[in-house]
Amino acid sequence: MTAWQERTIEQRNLLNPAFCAVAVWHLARGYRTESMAPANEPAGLPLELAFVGASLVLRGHTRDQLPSSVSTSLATWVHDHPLERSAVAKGVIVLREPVREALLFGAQYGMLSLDGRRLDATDEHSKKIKSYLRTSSAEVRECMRRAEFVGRWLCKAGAPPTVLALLGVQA
Amino acid sequence: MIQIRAIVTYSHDGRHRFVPFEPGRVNIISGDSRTGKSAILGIIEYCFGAPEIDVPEGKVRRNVAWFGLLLQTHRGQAFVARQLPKGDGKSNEVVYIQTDTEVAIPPASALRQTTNREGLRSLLASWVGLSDYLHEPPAGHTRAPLAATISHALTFCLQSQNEIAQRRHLFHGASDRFVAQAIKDTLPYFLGAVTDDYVAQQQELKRVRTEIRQIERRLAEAASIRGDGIGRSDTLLAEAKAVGLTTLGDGATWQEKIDTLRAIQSKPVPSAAEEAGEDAEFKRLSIVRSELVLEQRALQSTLERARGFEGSSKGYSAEAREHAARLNAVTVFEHDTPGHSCPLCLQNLPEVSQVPSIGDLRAAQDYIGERSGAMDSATPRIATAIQEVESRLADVRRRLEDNRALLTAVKRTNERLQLATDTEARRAMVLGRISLYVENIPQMPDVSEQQERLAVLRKQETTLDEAVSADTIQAKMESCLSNVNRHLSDYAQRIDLEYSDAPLRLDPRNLTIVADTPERPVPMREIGSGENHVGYHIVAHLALHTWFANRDRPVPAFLLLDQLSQAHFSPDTVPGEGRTQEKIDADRKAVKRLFSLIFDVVASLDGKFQVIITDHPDFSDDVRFQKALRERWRDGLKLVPDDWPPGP
Repeated sequence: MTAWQERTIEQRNLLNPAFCAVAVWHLARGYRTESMAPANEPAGLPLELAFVGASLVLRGHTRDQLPSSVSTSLATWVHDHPLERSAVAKGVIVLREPVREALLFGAQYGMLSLDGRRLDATDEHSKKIKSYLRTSSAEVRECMRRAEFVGRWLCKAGAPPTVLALLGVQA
Repeated sequence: MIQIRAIVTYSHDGRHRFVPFEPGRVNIISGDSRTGKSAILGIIEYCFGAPEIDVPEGKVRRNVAWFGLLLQTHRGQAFVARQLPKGDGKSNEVVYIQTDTEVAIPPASALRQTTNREGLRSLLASWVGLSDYLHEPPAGHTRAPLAATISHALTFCLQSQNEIAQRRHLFHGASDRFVAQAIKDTLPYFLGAVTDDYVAQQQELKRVRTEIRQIERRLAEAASIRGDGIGRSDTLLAEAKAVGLTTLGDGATWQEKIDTLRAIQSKPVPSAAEEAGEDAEFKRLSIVRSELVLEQRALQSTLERARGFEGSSKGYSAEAREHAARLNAVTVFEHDTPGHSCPLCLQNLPEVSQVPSIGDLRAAQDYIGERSGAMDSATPRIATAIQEVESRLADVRRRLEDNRALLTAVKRTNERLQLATDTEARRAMVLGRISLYVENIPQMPDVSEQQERLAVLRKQETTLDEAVSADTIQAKMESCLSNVNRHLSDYAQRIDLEYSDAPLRLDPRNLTIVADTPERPVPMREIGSGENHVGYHIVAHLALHTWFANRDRPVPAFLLLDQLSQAHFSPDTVPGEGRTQEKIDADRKAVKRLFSLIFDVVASLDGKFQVIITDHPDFSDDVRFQKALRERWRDGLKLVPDDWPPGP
């Protein structure tokens, strides 16, 4: 990652590690919620899906096209939005560094914890996150709402290799 | 490419049983009747996303919760499972999919909905390599355009026990009129007579034709503008000469005339008053007037610039607000101290860590805060400035009014000036009409360039039209079919079918096989004996799959044959009742010939083609047969074990 001072203002501010970490935290929360549904065995967000999820959520155009409920399957959505598939795959590459940095940042402050190849969202920051969102902009709130949704949605779509294959992303 | 590695059934109480198959080989399941052999076809169809389940009522339908298939695709393996319909339903949208380079058959507890029937079908289509093929029915037909789907491709891979000996219908499901029509419509695509970019070419042709029409319209317009344009421009020039605005001769070309008109239009109007003589007051007022007009123009442009800036600065502050909102995420982490070792790999972090610190984020936040503050305060000032300019503008306009009143008064007292103003008014009028005319002439397009483009497009149209025309497809279709027919005749001779000495062909219009005897063409339905029908079904499908496999066509690379020996004998046949031992031996030989042909064809295709056979006989003396035998369903072994409970 280029040093903080060398990035463009947009990169620095709009994709700053604190913000991305909060987005990943929501992804992991959504994933955990959905994994509880069938077997009541909470599972953490697989590492590679943090990148895929960020790509689905942080690109405004893609975010606007996401389905309204998790019952629309990922395969069906990809089938209906053939153009988004390549955008998501490219987003994974573009966002690789900010997301990796966000994982480090979140983990340093104990907001994300890593267990094997899975991420979990700890609860100790949830109050602060809530109060941050209350005073934040509509777009930020929308990002987080969608991040939670995408976490659930990706969990429903099956094992990580299947999700990556559906979106044409190489692990 | 899709081949089947296993068929899996899951019970309602969490058990599962799978039947393994080898890709690229012949796979035989030999078994007694009522062991679930014929259900396999229904399972495959259902797992390939059929709209309704087609498994006969009984244990397979009632004691199984999910059907699954482990598939081999060109990219690895895929496991698809589909839940059986609840109660007496016909369909169920619950589908589970898992893909990887290698997939283990999941336990029943792992099955849940990950997609629906539509998602399943589009995935299967992508694995098999279907492109978007749309069959547009010929003009005059009322049926809707038809897109090739995985269901159409699967038609060529299945033969149920009632179909394999049918004399009227060659293909799976073809007894239904609509299915038969769909097979006819998609056959050119599956054979490869229609290329994969057929649809793209059709679209391109449409686009080219639209562009040709546009250019033709433009050229026609240009011609018509010239036609009556000359008349209009001549009259305008005449008027301009009359009021002394130009001295162009009559022999000028149309382009020159237009240029002159443009020049007149863009020149400032010479003041007629100057020619009319000296008049100090009038001149002074005129000068004041032109100064005022200048000032008015300057003020107006200032106003526009300021308004534009105000709009954009509003946009910028909104942007900055978004920056600030996202940076505010840092508040979540404040008052926490970061760990000194990397949380992901537990190594101690170097002193100057690459991860930006809270301080960095805070600094960025303050910077944005300052700037957006500065901008916010600038906005009202701009608003005041704009108001100021507006009031000055109003003032200038008022002074212009006064000036005009004075001028009119001066003019009235001066006849000569009156005359001059008349000329001026007339000039102004002619000028106005010239302006209107010149502005309305579309920039005369450079016709030669347009014509060149038109020629290129017409060439393109011809080639595209040829590529997608029915004749071309027909010719390609014939060439594909002649290759298929060669295999057809060859295979038929190998198993010594009746009429195999005559040339055999697949008739794509009637979806049947025709033997061209010297007397007349004989279609399959007129050829007698069930053995012949089975033979024709098998050689037709083998010939088609040989072609599909060699050409890498988007058809699943397997063929399921259900009970191909039915027309010959059943394993418990004993002599008697008009069945002599010779007849039984002859039947045995015939069936072995069929099997042997299938083995040879699969071997010759070298892994690109898989055959699954479910049948009664078990040739214990045949090495190849025994090697291909995956399971014997006898003595209680069945597709669905007897101890599985029925579902709720």
